[in-house]
Amino acid sequence: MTEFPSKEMFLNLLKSRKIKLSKEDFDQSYLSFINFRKNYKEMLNDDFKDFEPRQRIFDLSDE
Amino acid sequence: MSNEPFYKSIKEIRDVYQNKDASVTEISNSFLERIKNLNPKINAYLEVFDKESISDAKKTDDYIKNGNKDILTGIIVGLKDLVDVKGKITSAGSKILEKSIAKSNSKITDDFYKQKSIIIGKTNLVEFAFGTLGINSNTPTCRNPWDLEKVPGGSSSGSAAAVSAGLCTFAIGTDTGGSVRMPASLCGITGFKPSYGIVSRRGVLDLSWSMDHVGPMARSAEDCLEVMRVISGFDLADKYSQNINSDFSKIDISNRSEISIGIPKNYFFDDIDADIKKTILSAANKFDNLGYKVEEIEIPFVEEGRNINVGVLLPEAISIHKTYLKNYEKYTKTVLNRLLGGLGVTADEYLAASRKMSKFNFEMSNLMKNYDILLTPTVPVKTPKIKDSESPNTPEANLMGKFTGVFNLTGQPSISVPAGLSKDNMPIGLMLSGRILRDNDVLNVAIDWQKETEFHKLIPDI
Repeated sequence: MTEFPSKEMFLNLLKSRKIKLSKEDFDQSYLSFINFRKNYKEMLNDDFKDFEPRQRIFDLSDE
Repeated sequence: MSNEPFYKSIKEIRDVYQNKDASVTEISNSFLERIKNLNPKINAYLEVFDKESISDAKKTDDYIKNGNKDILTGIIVGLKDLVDVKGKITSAGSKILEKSIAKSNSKITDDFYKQKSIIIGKTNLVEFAFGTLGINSNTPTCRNPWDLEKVPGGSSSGSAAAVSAGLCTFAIGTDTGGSVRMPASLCGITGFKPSYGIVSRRGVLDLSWSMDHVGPMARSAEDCLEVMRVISGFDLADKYSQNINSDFSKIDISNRSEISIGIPKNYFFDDIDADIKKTILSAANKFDNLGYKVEEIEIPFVEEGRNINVGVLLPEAISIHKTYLKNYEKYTKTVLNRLLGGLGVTADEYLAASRKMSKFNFEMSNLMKNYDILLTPTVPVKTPKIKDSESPNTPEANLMGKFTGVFNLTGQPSISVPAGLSKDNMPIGLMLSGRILRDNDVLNVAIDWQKETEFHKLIPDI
């Protein structure tokens, strides 16, 4: 998914949900779609080496 | 001060009832009359509860006559049309839910009824609360009371416009990426996004369960605090509600030098409108002159925030909309295009975004050990005209939530307060964001700001 953000792939995703778009709407949605693909690709590349998922969202220990 | 109730504070309205200067019925009728006159121009309300408001007002007058009073008794409130009121339509500004009648009240609706507040109607919004400018081709166009040709900001457009135009004393908005604070900034009012989980979302339609917040929109931070005293608190029926006692009380800040305010040099001032930059830096100087400990800082990791916010939000929105998307023809093009961009996100991708969110929050909580407040602009761009905002991907639509979304990701309390007017006489908002669960600190610094300034008292010439 992340590797090949092709128009065909997006079209298949729309077909799987039985969504038919005009060319203009397809192009707009596809633009959003490929932007998000780039976004996720960057996030998947993070190795999280300095972060343990068990660390709490906030720390009140010094309150 | 004028005898008209439209721009009075909650405390001033309480005094009106206490002194028997007017009854709840009289005040409610005044607001209903003003809504009748002005709503056709502004379209802040989608539905006005005329009969119910008058009936409730009469009961509230009896309640007061019997010696009862609460914080919000007889106060006029507008609810964003995502909030359930039993027996009333919750449309979410959509064609799909235009006939969807709520089977029960939301938790906060119950809070207001228990207080004998007057819920006067449902306010306009972006379809499914998924947009930043306040544009929704499904509903009558909501307009900014400061300039009817300009957008009010979204997604809580009607709530902001209603407060700004004096069509209620306060309103409720929801905020997933800035939807309380952005329209508050654009319409010259005060909008508060509490810490995540402090206000129950039961009976409020979801957009993203990790990012959604419910908050008050009012004339002042003090009024927001009054509302928070009523609507905050643990709700067992909301999985995301936090079982923490939050104190909401007004504090006289006498120790300003002990309150540290960080002004991020990076990100929040990059490529922003010159008027906004000047106004916010002037506000920072004012805080410095008032005696706060003001310091310029760098937040290197903040640049990633927006991508993480959207990376978590969008798959959650797609999941929530799974059933609605079967009627995809009924969506506005703008929202459909935005939603469909999130199709096909894998579990790996969503979990990477979710884990990045945890890491981001950890880094932010470390930073906030050194600062009580972060001071930033609420939005980076000028208020655009409605006619220039109707296509899905305008620059303003994409940039508007650049700053606010950071604090949905972290769940920190964050407030937008008026800080001045632009050269074209449009309000500019200042955002103050505090440590997680230190909502009272943020509200009290905002109250202190409004004690020293008059910007929140400016009203549009409608």
